[in-house]
Amino acid sequence: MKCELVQPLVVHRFAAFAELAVYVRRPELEAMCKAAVEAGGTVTAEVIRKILPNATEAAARNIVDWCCEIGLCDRNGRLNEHGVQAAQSGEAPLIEQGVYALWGAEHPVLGNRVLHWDRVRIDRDEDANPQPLPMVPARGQHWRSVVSAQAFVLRDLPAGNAEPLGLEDRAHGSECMFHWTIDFNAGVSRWHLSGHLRGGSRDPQLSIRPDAIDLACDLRALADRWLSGVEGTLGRWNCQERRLDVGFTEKADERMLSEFRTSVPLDEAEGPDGDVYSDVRIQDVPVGPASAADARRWMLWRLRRKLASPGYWSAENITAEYVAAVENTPLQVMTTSPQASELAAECQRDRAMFWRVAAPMDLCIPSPEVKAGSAPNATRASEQSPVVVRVGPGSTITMKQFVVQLLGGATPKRVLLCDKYVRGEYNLKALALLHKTLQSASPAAVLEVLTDRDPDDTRQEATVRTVLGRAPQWYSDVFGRSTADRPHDRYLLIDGGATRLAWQMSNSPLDARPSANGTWTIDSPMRWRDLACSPVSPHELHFPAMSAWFTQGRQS
Amino acid sequence: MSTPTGPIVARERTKLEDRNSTIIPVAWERSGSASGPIVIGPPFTPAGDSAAVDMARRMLADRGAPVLCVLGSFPPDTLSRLVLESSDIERRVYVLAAPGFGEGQRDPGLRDRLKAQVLVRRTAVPTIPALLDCKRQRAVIWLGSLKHGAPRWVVELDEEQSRGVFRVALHWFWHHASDEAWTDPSASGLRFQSAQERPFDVPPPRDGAMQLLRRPQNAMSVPAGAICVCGNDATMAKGTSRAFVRPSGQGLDELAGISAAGCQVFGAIDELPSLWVTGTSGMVEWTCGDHLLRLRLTASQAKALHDGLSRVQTDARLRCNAALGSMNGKIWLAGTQAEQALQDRAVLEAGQVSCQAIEDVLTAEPADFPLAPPLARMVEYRWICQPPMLPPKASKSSLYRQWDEASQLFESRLQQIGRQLEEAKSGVDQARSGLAKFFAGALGFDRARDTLMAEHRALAQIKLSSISTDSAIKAVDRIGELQQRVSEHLQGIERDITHADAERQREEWQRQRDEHASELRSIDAQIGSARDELGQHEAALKQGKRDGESDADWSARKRKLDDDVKASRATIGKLNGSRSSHAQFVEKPFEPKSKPSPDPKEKSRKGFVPGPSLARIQIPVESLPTVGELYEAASERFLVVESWEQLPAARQEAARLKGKMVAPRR
Repeated sequence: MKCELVQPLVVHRFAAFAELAVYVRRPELEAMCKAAVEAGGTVTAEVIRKILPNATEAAARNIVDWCCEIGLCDRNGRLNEHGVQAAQSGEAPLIEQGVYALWGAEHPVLGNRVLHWDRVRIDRDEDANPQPLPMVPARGQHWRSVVSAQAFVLRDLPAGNAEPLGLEDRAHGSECMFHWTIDFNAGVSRWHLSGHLRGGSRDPQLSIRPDAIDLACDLRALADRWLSGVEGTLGRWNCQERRLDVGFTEKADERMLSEFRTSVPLDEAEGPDGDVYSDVRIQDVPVGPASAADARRWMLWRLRRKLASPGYWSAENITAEYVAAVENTPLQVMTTSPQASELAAECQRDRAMFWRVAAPMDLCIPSPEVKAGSAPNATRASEQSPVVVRVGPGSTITMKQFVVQLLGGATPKRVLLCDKYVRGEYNLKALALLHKTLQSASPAAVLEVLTDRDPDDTRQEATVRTVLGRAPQWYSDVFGRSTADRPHDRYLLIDGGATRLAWQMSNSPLDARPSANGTWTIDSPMRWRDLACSPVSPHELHFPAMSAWFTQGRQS
Repeated sequence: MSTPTGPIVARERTKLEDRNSTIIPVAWERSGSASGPIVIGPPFTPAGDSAAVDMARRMLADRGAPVLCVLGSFPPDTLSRLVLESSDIERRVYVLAAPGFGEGQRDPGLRDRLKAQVLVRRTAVPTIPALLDCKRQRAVIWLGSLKHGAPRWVVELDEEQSRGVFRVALHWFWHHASDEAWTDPSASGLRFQSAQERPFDVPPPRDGAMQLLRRPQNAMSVPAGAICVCGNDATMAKGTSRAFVRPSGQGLDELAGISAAGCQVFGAIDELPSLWVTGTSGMVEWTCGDHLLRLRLTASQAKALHDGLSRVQTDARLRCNAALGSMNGKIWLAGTQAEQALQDRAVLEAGQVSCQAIEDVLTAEPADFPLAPPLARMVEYRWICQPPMLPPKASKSSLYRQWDEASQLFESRLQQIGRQLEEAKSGVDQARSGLAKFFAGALGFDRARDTLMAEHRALAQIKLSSISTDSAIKAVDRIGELQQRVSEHLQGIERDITHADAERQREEWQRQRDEHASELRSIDAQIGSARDELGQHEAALKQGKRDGESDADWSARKRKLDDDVKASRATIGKLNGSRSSHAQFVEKPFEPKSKPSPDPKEKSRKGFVPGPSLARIQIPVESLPTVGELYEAASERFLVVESWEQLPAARQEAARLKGKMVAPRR
């Protein structure tokens, strides 16, 4: 959430007799300040005599007084920030008096500030009639020129008594904008100027440097003050959740609905400086649903967008997409996974989408409930193995627990993961974890991968090889090009010698992600998509290449 | 066999064979009489009956349950109607159909029901028609073959069968659909698009009451005594009591053995898929692409089918060891691709026979006759006898060229002799006109030349190439004699003309000599008188000055005398000069001048070109054939004979010339 307050500044240009301290290279002062810094930060006679060995006590006293006069230290010789700066940069003030052209502006943040100065010559023949200045600059302030960045201090304006006098230039043509950038999330508040200064139509235009300067303020209070006052149609600021609660409507800004961010326009806003800024737009304001109903409609809207891509959606896939649609969003805690029928009804107006949901719902083989029973085993049945292993979206079982259930007590020698999407950083991390888990069960276990080639990833083979120590086999080589001959589901084939197991999985085990602390260990709780693993007898596998995999293992 | 006449060409010949007693070891005989109706009782219901519709409607009783309709390649009318009925009540209807469904004439009416909720997916995999309640997973199926029109029976499946069919249907629906469409109120009809990716895998059942098995699979195990509808797999019939086998040309020997073991073998029942049934059990099998779909029948289903099939007789039956004359209708023989009708008479082309001799054209037969069509009762073989033909590379015999050369030389010699006789005539005529008084023998020459001309004309009548070799040699001898005589004749004429010319020269020479002598005498007289005058003048000079003669006169006279002397001497000299030529002619004796010799160049040229008279006429050792034309190829001779009439004479000529008689290329 961020915004930028912008205000035009009135720039005055006038000529006045003034005393300036101009920061220039002063090697002698630099050496003295460095010596003072090394000596503890105070200019003493000893310090001075390091630079000027013959300096007397009186001379040293005079030097300290002069340094105090030009603002490097106090009367006792203690260096201030400018003195330390002089030790570092070598720049120290040089006092001069004369007639200067001064550009200045008045602003609550800037104060009465001289933006830039220039030495000028007043012709005695001119009919000069000094007038009170259009602004009275603050004196003794340490500024930098917005054009050259040269540091200076306006020490005095001697002309006039109580009121400084000078000659105002009313046609200089300078333009300047004040920008105040606030990033509420990052805690950033800083301002800068833009525009240009001119000394007349014939003088060159001097660009203002966009140097930003931090300006501390209470951003949380500022956000609350600003957003609590937004119109009801935009939403309601939720101080606890730090977001704008909005009612869901499909006509809302699509970016807001998809990214949970919006921009809030304010006609007028009082800045931290108390000044009023107009046409303020707060960007990236967090938004969330105003109610549970809004959350559900919002969730369905997001799911529909997922379902817009071609392909039918099984209940497990819908659940997985639901998780992807609400995870780490304000919807997560305000809604639940929809039933396919509810989603189908939601998609009724879009027939293509309707069938993508309804057809898999109507035309599926219902999965049996998880229950104790015999595991599929061509050679040996294990009474302890479950018929179906189901890992729901809310499950936080570890990879080890998951693998133990699938192994059913078998000691794997070879394992084949048949998964069309073995790609992407996190999937490959999950693959490495699966590999590690299998090897924890049987150190000699070899994990093979059969996957679809990613045409956009030329390093896919190399990355899988890095993880497993062996290259993957490709769908196109094993199953051919026809989609009818390629598996949609994922399969995990386990060759444990005497025990051979095959699992048909509705989702990929590689979708598992660390749930809390982000560590990828076999004992870390993982977040899972809806994953149903159905056992299949190896000889009943529909895809001949999978049945052949077991045979190849025996032959080799 | 009559003697042929006319040109010698290829001749067509024929032969007849009676095959009625030929034995056919095993074959399918389709008599053509209609098969008896197949009556199968409950639980099977004829598809067109209202009971079948009621049975299917019971499937749709739960109006909230989605329905899956598998239409198959030949959608039953009832099923199509139920799809529309279900869609009218806005229940979700899933249709699995064959390619083409829903388009044009193959839209049962869905384009008018776009508000309905119908999802159609199409597959090229052959499927059985079925109606399934997706909620209860109960099904009815239409029983029939997948290849022969709409199924004729409907049967409701039990729970286990239904579960299996449901799983099979889902497998087809999700795995094998190639495209899909759905009713949509915003559309104008079904718009088919590529099938979307399926949501999950549905492995087909591999055991239980319904099985979908990847081919190849072991054949169904058929119990002994069962009734079997075999389809294309005749091996199923082994050990059965009654088998319905699709007639083909394959496996007939095996079927003959099965028949011999007591099985009644009939032609296939197209309306039914492969199956076997006993009174209590049975199995039906469909071939669905690269899979086999097997349905295990319940006892009641098996009994109904068994009873029905026990009574059926089809129009095709297996015949073993039957005589061809006893068979009727269409016959499918072992090893053939299709059944064929019996033939009363077949005409077979036996090809061509190349005969070695022209006479063989009348008798030759093919070495091998083509196989007679196995179903032909009478066969007529036809073939063509091709006479020996002149080889393509044969060229006309060199004998013709030799005879042509001899004839040309002969004629050339005759022409030369003719020209000599003409020259003789013209020489005689010229001598007669120019040397008449000196050419005494003119009349004798004419007679000799007439004789020679008569002989020349007689020889010119002879055509050398058409006479025998001996006659030709005699003609050549005659022309040699004639040429000799003509030569002598010409020499005589030339000799006489030379003599006459010499006489003519002598007479001319005498006349000129006389003229020269006369002239000489005249000149001598003139010289004498000139000498006299000279003497006088010299004497006068010698006398000198006359007396009384003045000096001037003397001088004048003396100059005149000197001049006269000079003039006389000059005259004498001149006369002496002209006298010498006359004196030489007169004193020279007569020498006749011979005729100027011919031009040396002409003489030289003639020397290089031997005259025709020098060329020897070479008569070939063989005369040309009197019949046909003689050709040669390599070292062989061929006598081309045009017609059968020429054959006897040609045979002799061929023997004489050692050539082979052939027919001309036509």
